[in-house]
Amino acid sequence: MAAQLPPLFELTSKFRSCINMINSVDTAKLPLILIRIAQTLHLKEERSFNEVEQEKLQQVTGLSETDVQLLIDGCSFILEQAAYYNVAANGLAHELKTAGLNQDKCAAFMKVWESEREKIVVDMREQTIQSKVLDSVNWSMHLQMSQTIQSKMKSPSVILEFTTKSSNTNNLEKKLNENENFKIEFNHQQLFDFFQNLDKIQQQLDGLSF
Amino acid sequence: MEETTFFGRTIPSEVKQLSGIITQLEQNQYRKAIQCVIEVFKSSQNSISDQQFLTLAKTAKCPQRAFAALYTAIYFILRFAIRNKVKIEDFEATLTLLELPPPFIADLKKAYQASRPTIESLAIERRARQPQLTQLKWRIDVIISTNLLNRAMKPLIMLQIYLDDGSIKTFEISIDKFHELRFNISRILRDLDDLEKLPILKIE
Repeated sequence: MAAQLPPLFELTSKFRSCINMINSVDTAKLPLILIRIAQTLHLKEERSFNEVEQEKLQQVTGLSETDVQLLIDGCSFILEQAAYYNVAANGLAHELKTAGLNQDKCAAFMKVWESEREKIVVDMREQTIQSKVLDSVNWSMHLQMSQTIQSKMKSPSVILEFTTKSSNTNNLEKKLNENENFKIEFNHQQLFDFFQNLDKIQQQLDGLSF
Repeated sequence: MEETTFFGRTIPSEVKQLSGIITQLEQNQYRKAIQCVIEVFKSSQNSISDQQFLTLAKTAKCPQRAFAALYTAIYFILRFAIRNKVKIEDFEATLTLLELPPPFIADLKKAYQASRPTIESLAIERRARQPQLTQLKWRIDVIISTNLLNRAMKPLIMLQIYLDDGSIKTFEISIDKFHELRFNISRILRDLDDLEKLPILKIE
């Protein structure tokens, strides 16, 4: 029963002032703001509106600078909570109404959440704390014909080039985070052993079910 | 009548000179030289060091210049033969053509036959290569929740690759990339199989 679960939004004084701010905004403009916020929700370090855009928003809504920031923060928080618990659109509307948001604003939230929900959750799942993520694997296959002390060899070999990307999006470290490339060479037997290892991993993956 | 030797179109001058001096040398002298050449091939040195050469010349009781010519000629003959995988009959035929003394030819032939498999396998081991994989460690994680999502339920694979140049590469792979990797590798293996069946590879 919905009554048993704790409310999604704890009514702190700051949250209440956010609600009031959202209530005061023109309903027609709200969905656009929300969609914009939804696009960068999964990236903690990036702002949804840069400075220029934030000024424009001030002019459009007629609010002061702090009020606009409050508005953006409030909407972001609502969407983050909704994503964290992956609530249904109805559930979200209900919770917002209980928190004191006007009906038309609740409807606006519900509509945006319905359309953006899946993408937000998928983007959030992609986020990882680990430093290096495999980006791509390139390969080339060679036939070595001769070398310094031996000619007329016919020896096939495969070179795999792994490109890893750092998933750390901290702006300070961005310059240090370059793609790292390393190459590994295999002959037929070695590649086959590698493939068998990958098969073992696959078997384990198949065993997972949830 | 022109007969081709296993040297190709022209016989190296170092080898041509051999027939002049070889008649003056005794068997135990050139035997030592042959042994030494074979040892150099087997070791990772590219050529004999000056020290070794001088001691060898002394023990063979041979004047240095003659010995140098002898050593160089033997080195050339054996190097050519091994690199081009010359058949033993052709080897013998060419040496006879060069008018070298029969006991010398017999010694060279024996040395060639005996050392050939070892040297060929050493060649394969020592060629210039990119780093190779010595060990692979892996694990599968399932991310249950993060600061962004209460129920994330995302499986993740971590690989740790040990390479023979000493470096260790650790990274994670998402499930999609893993499937892509596995697919590509199975495709490469199939291409390798096709390649090895091609007739061109069967020519020895």
